[in-house]
Amino acid sequence: MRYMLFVATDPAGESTDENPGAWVERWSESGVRIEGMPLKPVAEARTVRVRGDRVLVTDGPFAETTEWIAGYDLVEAADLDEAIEVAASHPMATGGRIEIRPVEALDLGRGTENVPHEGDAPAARFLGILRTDPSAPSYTPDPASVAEWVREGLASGRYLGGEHLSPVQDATLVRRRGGELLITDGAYTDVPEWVTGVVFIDGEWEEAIDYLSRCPMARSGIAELREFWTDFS
Amino acid sequence: MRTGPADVRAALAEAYRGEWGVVFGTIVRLTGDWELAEDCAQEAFARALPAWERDGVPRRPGAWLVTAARHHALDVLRRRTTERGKLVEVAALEAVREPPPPGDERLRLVFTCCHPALPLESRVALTLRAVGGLTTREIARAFLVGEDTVSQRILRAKRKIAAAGIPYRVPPPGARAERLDGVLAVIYLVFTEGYAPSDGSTLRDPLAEEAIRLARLVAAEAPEEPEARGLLALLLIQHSRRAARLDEDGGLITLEHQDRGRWDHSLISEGVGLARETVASGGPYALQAAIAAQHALAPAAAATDWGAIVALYDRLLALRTNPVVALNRAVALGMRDGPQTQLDAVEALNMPKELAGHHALSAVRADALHRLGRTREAAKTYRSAKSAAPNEAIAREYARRIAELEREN
Repeated sequence: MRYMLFVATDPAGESTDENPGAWVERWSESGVRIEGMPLKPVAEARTVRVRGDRVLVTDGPFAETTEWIAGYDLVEAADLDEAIEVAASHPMATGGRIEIRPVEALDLGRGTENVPHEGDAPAARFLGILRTDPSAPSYTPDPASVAEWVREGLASGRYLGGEHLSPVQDATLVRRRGGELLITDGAYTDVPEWVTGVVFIDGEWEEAIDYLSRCPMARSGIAELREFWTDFS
Repeated sequence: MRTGPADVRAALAEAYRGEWGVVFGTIVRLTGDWELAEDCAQEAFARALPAWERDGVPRRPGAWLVTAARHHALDVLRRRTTERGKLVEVAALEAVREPPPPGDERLRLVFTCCHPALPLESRVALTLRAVGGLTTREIARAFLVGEDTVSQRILRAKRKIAAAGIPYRVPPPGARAERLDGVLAVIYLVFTEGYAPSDGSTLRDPLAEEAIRLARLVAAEAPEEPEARGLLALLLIQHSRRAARLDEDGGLITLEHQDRGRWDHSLISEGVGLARETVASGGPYALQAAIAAQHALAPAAAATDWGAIVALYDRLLALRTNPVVALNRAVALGMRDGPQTQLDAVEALNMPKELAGHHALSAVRADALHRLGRTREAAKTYRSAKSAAPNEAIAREYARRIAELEREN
């Protein structure tokens, strides 16, 4: 099964001198880790909502939460127990917290497949994090319009891929505290706006925001644009 | 061969208690479909009554029931074979193989139902349903919630098991001890809910008995785990006091005032035996069982070996700091060395903020004050305990002590 790991911060996290590089190497070599990338701080995010004809773009994250997503890893594991083992061995299980979400296959038809890539992540500049918005008018994006949005992005080079996630009820949170492994039901942070999927977007900020504002999911939910952290060493 | 209708019903009831989880677990293992497993287990037991009345009770009722459930699963899946994926399951069901021992099946089921990635309430409800065979209605009644709530909790668990890929198996050795702790915690929760219902209503024996049955099962199937036997010992000894715990008005009778003649001595002897066997392992359930055993063996409250109990509490606290254990240790210390020591020990407790106003803390302090002859302060402290009491039975007990102190004054 394929799982998305959201690597998140946690003010209650403990300091650790474990090496994230060693974790990447261990699980990439065993073929479990497919890809992953850290994100720049959440304060630099921009948020896009489309309500009716209005496009609302705000600076900053969708909400002020004490925990925030600091990166992602995509893994292919035998089952949840293996995904937990992978997450538990991540230094951020100690320093922060890790949410495990099953990835759901979403077939939007021919010509909508993710752009093939090699290395740690699609060569995109941004990660678009798509969330629900319980306060938004209910609207179910039809697959045809999503497929059209994907094809448009693939043609223009904005869209490099995406992952659709199983509902938040299927999320599992993994932490290490005081040397003890804590496994609990739930997401990395307790807000009603849960993550439904991610998209890899390339281009300049304005181009990426413009593309996200045409995303059908932005009409009923929230799209948060986060820049990947590529110049770390 | 037993064929009388009463014999058949008795055999079926016995099979239900013993085999439900095995039947349920077999279908889960073969198909991965928890919904189907529940249907098939129900169907197998429904078919058993007329068949056994007609042909007699089979020599191995469990094997008969597993076969009946498998046939029903095959029927259902064949009807569904338009779904291509189901063909694999049909093949698995048709393959004639020696089934694994029933104990393995139950253990796999209990570990999966108690997976830590499931919400706690769902773990409890699913364990009672799938392993224990309790109906949704029985679970709802035991926990004083609506049947819909229980159904939702079970559904939620089944959905997450499938969608999140929770494996159906006993965890590998590296993770087994840690996961076993989770299983034992669920069983203990079922027991305490039956033993000291959080709403303070009368004790609910069926839950306590179900918990003992589950603890027995895990202890039998995981004999290398002393904590499983430690938990069983603890539950048996606590349960031995059920008849002596409540007065006619439903008020709680504390250990010290219970009529020890009303304790169930066969449960005590089994529990004490297990406690003796496991105490050296030093696990938290084994130590708690050893403490319970000390109380159970004392012919009278005054003859309790408080020195031994304090020593056991010290070992328990060395494992992990726990305010409730620390408070109980203060009581034991007070019984060994007198009320002033108890009062000093309570004052010295470094209680976390959320427990500072806890009723039990006030009650232990009040008890020490009372025994020191400081009745006014004692009554005042019992009053704060009473105002923080979590349920009616406990509040009544404090009211009784306040009245007693007022008479003494």
